[in-house]
Amino acid sequence: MYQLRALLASVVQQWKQISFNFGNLGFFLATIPMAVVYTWIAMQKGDHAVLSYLSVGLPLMTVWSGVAFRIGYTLSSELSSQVLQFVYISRTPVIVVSLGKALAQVLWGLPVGIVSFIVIFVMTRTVPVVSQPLALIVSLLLVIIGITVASLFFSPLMVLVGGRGGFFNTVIPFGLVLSGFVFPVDKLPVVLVVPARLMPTAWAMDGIRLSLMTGSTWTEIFTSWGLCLLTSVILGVITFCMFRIVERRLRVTGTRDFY
Amino acid sequence: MKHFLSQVYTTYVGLFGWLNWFSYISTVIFRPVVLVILYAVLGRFAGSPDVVRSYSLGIAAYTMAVIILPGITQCYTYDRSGGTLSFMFASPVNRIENYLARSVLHFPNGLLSFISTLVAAWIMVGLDFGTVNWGGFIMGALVIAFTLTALGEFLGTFAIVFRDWSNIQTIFVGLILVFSGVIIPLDIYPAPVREIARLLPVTNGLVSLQSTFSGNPLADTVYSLLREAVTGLVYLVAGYFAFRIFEIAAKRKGTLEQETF
Repeated sequence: MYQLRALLASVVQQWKQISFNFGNLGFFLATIPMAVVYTWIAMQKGDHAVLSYLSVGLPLMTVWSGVAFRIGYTLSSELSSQVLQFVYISRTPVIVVSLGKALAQVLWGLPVGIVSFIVIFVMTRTVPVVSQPLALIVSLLLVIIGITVASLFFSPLMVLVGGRGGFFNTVIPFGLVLSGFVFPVDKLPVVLVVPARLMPTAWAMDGIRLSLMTGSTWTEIFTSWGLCLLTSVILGVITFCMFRIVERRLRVTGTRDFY
Repeated sequence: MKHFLSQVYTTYVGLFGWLNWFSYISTVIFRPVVLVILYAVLGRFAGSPDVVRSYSLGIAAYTMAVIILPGITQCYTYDRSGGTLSFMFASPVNRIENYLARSVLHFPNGLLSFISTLVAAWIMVGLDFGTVNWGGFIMGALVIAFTLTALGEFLGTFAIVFRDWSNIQTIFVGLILVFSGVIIPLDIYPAPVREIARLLPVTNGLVSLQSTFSGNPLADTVYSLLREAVTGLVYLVAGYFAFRIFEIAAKRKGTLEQETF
């Protein structure tokens, strides 16, 4: 209960910290041109199933592109602002605080997905045909969870790699390739399918694809949901371990305010 | 010349945030490769597996934009946010020398990304270099890189007077992606949009790049290439005037650490 209260408090704290200025807004809106171009490529053949998939996947892609970067910098920003030590002094685990911040960033990014959806609709005049609406809603929630977990992974990683500027320049496009937002990961070369299947979003997007297409069974849908949750837990455990490594490194080596 | 070279070096090493081995190699070399994979697989999914071959040159030009524009904009943003810009303004250093020095080493970064994209497209989707008119093609790539560098200088100077300016280059990268013909052909847009698009870097140069890649003589598209070069010159000159005007405004209002306008 206390952890939940702390989680909500950090959501509120991060929400208040996100200022609605040009810098923040521009960062999210800048992902929309990418969605426009991908949609245009998909429109060339006009396959309705592809357009339906992209109508759902591209808005989620714009959300992920925006929040992965911002969540990735949360811990290293606290470190550089010299407020991380207060988080470590408190009894609340750092991962709970960081998860709250991540949730706030995802919530803040969701409207950009809606803007992106409108842009795609204007281009394609296509509303995705949904075979299983309930499955789609659950899959969307799982994508949000996947985005949050996958983005949170970068928070301790950024500290461990020394908070290098430009770290996300390749990570974000590579994440787009592996996450399944733009195409099902089965379309990737085999060598990339394996890392893609470690991403919760790839499974959640499978759930979305299955809920859009006719003839899919609930067994397939439940399998994709289950694997999404399983990979989320695995990624969450890895993230937790990295948070512990960061904490040990900062406390034991006494380099709390340095990388 | 010595002063100029020293400014070229210091502004690059001190103010380019991606100048560490991981970020540099991943941004300049690997990101173009990932973009080629992304477009290739998307093309396959969308039912046009060969589509990326026709977009390769556009993607290559686009990757120049995504390294040059943020690189130069960072140079101004970090100079201001780090508090070192005021020292430059207090010094009697030649302004045009300082202005030009900031972009010099970002220019080859764009060319490296361009080459990396083409190599990736050659390996992954079999981009055919058999008929390339190399002289014209290289000239086209150099001119596009110059125009992007000039746009970077123009946009960067605004960081002197506006906070949160660093993201404007992201917006411009987006405009180049959508409107310069790198993937979406210009002829689908209405005439007024096409004319505005021709004010962007890449738009005119890409016409020449694509033509010479197919083996046509440079003379066929020399007008487009000249227009690209003139576009770059206009950005460069406008950027210099902005650099001087913003310095005067920031000094007069005492707002170097705040919004001037």
